[in-house]
Amino acid sequence: MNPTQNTFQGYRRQDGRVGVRNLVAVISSCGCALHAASMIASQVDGAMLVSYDGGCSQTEADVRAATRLLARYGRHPNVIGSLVISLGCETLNASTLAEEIAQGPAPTELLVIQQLGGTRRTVEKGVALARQMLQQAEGWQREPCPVSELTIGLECGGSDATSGMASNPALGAFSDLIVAQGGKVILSETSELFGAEHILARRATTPEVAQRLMETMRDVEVFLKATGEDLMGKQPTPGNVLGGISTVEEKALGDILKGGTTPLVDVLAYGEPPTRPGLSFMDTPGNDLASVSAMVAAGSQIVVFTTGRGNPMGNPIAPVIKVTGNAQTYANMQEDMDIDASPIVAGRETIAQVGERIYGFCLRVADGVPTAAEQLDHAEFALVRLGPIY
Amino acid sequence: MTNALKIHPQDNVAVALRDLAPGDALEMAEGTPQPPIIAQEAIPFGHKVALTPIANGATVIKYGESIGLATTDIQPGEHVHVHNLRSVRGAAKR
Repeated sequence: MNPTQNTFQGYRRQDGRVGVRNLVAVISSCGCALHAASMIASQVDGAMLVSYDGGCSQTEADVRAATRLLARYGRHPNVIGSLVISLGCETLNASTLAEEIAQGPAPTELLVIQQLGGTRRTVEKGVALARQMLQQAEGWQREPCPVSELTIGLECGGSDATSGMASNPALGAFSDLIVAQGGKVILSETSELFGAEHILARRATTPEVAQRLMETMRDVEVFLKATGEDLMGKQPTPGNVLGGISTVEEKALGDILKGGTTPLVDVLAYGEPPTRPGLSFMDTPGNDLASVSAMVAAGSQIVVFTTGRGNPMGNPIAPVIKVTGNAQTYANMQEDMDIDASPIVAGRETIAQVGERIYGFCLRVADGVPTAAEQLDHAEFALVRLGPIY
Repeated sequence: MTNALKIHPQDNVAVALRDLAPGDALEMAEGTPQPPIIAQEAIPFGHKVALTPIANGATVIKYGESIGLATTDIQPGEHVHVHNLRSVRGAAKR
């Protein structure tokens, strides 16, 4: 719990990046390969299913984007090897996906169900390969690594009145501690920024970063308006006003304070890895699965997730830490929660103190301590899809 | 007993951690403000109470950032909400 602690025990990879887990990613390259991939992952401890269910009858842009994002799962520093499970006739080019993964430091194998002779043979081969990869990874030793090697995804979901007063401000204090050590934090969820974008833009390190943020907001507003959705028209809602939220700025700030108070150094596309230390903003939907999945694709080794009402979700290859500011949710769903931020609401602990607790726990998770979501085998995954399925 | 939360050191409002009645003195985890701040009216749980005098047109600060402008002079201990605070970005079309 020492906020000045500046190292953790991680795995230093051949490309210089640092992982906090040794996992095999079992990636389905289309929905038709999902069952075989899931059978492989369920039989091998340490093999995790990356459950992509698209890959066919989609726009070229969506297939290209999915290939790029799935390849980043295969090259993720928490991954020591990956299996691409392909049907053989899908639109997504599974060979291209495997080749893109092979550009990273970890081995990858392509298993095509139609070539291998069906589900059982694919599963048998996949299980053997995954076990082999994990066996070879047993030689990996953890070593002291600086916090500056960490990229942390920030998420909130299932929010309630305690989110804006306790868990999100505490996560903001945590973000400031990570940034002070030279680490990277990623704030996301574009739709939740509406109303406070001008405030975050003021914190941009350059006019270009501020401009990219405003353009990102405008693009999403225009895209959603074309579908009949008006993001700004009804904010804050009558329920928000009853709960004490007076303006749209206040509502949005309650969400984006997860990113703390440091300058905004970059604006990232969906799933794009950050290159600059500090706070970046990533363009993602507010949807928790699609947002967390993209921040992990971008290289986040750990995600910290605040939830007032209690969301249990995880991710296949990155530990997800759960923080709640609601005492009742913590008591009710304790097996799914890692950090109780409700002492802030009870007046027994300050925001800064809980921020330090999250920091201390995050470094223990980086050392290898499993999160609640990991202990319960949560491995949710979803990618944004912009075009239709036809 | 702590009954209010100042989220950021620069804030000029605090959040009520329970329903406050007129006459209640604010107590925060960091300590009791000096001079004391007394709730001038009922402040429901989760609502905002002014910590300093906020002049008409001045910025109301929560989370260390502007959440809008005061539409009247606000005294310490007064309820800060839609009746005396307006958005800069835009209000809901109702």
